[in-house]
Amino acid sequence: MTQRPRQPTRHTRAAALALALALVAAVATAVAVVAVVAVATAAAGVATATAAAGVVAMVAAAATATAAAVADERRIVSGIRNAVGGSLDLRGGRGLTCLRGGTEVLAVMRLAARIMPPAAGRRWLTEAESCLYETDPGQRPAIGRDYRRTAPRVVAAAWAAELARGSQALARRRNV
Amino acid sequence: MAPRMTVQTLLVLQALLHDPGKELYGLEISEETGLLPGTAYPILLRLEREGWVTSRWEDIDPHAEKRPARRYYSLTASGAAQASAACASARRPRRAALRRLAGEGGTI
Repeated sequence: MTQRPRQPTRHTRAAALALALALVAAVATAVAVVAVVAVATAAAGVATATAAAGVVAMVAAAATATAAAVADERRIVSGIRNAVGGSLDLRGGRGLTCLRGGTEVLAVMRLAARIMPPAAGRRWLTEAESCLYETDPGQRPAIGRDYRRTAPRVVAAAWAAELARGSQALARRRNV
Repeated sequence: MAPRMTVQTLLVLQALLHDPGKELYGLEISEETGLLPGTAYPILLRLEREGWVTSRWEDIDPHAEKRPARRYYSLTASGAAQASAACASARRPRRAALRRLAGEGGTI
């Protein structure tokens, strides 16, 4: 008895069509997902590149600002050193102890200026330089010691002023 | 908020009040008050923070003048009024303080 080949029924055709459609849909979904992932990856890449460029720019700006600040501080401190050193020269070299004091004063002042907000530190050092320069050479060591003694007070006052400025700016921004 | 009124703060205010329109630089304030510049500086910073005092850098060419630029300080309009009031009230000792002094052996 020969077996007749089985004719596709309406149901099997529908099932095949549904399967084909499902396959097409799956492939389309996969393609779409791949495309979305690719676009997202590209966007993330661009964003990452932009962020990296931003960070590099910020680091470069910060490094430039720091270098400028350090150069500025060096210039001011050398001015103070000249002023203090001038007094030592005028004392005919009998001020080795003063020289030690002068160096210590400068070290403490430089440290204190670094602890302060940068602009305040520069301003303090510049004003100290100006005062020491114009003072009678004999009085310079005492004035230097006074600057050293009051340095912690200046650090506190400088930060208080900075915080006051910051809170005022914040209050203004809130009002706007 | 008024700054803390110490004797040194009053000395600085009196120096600036001597001629309220005139600007004084650090060393001048130091000479007027008898305070060393390092001591006067945080007081000036505090007064500036409270808006009583304003300051500016002198506009000079340090090479031409052969000296560094000075920082000039002066009282603001409101600062001058508040400083006068602070100095006036500081000159008048409180009755309670005088009574305490009298109680410790002095007479008024």
